Amino acid sequence: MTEDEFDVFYTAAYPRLVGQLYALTGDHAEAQDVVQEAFVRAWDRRASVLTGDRAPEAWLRTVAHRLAMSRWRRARHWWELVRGESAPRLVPEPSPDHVALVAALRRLPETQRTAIVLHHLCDLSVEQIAAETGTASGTVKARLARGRSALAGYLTSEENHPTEEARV
Amino acid sequence: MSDRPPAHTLAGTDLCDRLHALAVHGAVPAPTAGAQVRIRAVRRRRGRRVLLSTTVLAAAAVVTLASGALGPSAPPPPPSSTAAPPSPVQDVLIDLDTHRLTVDGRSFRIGAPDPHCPIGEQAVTVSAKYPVVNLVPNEIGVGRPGPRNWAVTFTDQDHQQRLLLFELPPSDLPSVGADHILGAVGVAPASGKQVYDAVRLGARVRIEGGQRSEKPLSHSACIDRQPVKGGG
Repeated sequence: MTEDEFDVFYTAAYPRLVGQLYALTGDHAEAQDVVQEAFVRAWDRRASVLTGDRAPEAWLRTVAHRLAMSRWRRARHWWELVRGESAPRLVPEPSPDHVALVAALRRLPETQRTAIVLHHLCDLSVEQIAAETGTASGTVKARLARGRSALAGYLTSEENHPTEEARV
Repeated sequence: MSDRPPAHTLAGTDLCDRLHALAVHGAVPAPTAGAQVRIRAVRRRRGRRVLLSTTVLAAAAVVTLASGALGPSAPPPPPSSTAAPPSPVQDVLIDLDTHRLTVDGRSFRIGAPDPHCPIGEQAVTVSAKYPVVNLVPNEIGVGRPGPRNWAVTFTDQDHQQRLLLFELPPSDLPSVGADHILGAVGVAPASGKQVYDAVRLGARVRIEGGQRSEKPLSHSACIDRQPVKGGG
């Protein structure tokens, strides 16, 4: 990939990836940070990543997600101590539906949230998710089912008892 | 009996729609140009190299200190396969009579200092290198202020950092082979970068010949002798 091709690819893929990472992490600022960092790493390793026989966007999403998880893991203990339960940093003027969905996604276990977002937002098949996350297809199916079930419950709960942020 | 509705009420298509709407809402345009990302990648790579070098040097220093502190009764440390042997001090020769600078077996044409503005040293150590040094006008308006490209500096006996050499601009080509530079050595145009790259920090520079002056001018008159505060 030439410099010009990379610049075009970056401009086109960045917004899409930020949207996906926002759903994966529930943190818009973090999503932008990790996607940007993933692009930096991609260019650093362009000889192996940005070649015609690979899917660079999938690589970027995976790297950005791992970065987010790594940061999140480092901060999780401190965050829980300080805040008790973290509130999502939202994009400007989110609709109540988005607030509820982000809050519900954040309540899911990481593995279930990843499976849900990759399948229902990124349109990955169960087998592709299994390959990307290094788990068995059956495990992915179970995570999807449990995640959908939990999400339905959370969303219903959020709609009946909206968060303070949603009411503002 | 629970008030919570059954968990299977969330259809897959509904979830897809809501997630896509969320992603569209969260999508923001790229904050910078792709070129900025590429520059960051280059800086990141350089930073990693510096960190690696620093770590290796620190480890070598620790090994050296530890071996010295343990004294002769301690067993000698095992030979390290990763630490590079210390490089010998580089010798550079500036011959003001022949107007040649020799480094690593390569010779470059130079312009020598004016007899009234000698460097004033016969052996110096390279203390810094700057792609550009900007000189301020001197009090009497002699000499050309402004940039000196591919500048190599040393610290003189007055503890001032001064220019040792720099690349002459093309307009100063007549100064090559002559003694017109006001307090430093001018490397021939188009050779400055090669000399700059070849001369290493800490190099020992011998300055031979020339510099015969019965009435050296003051530092302020010799513009290339003014203290160098840093690059840029």
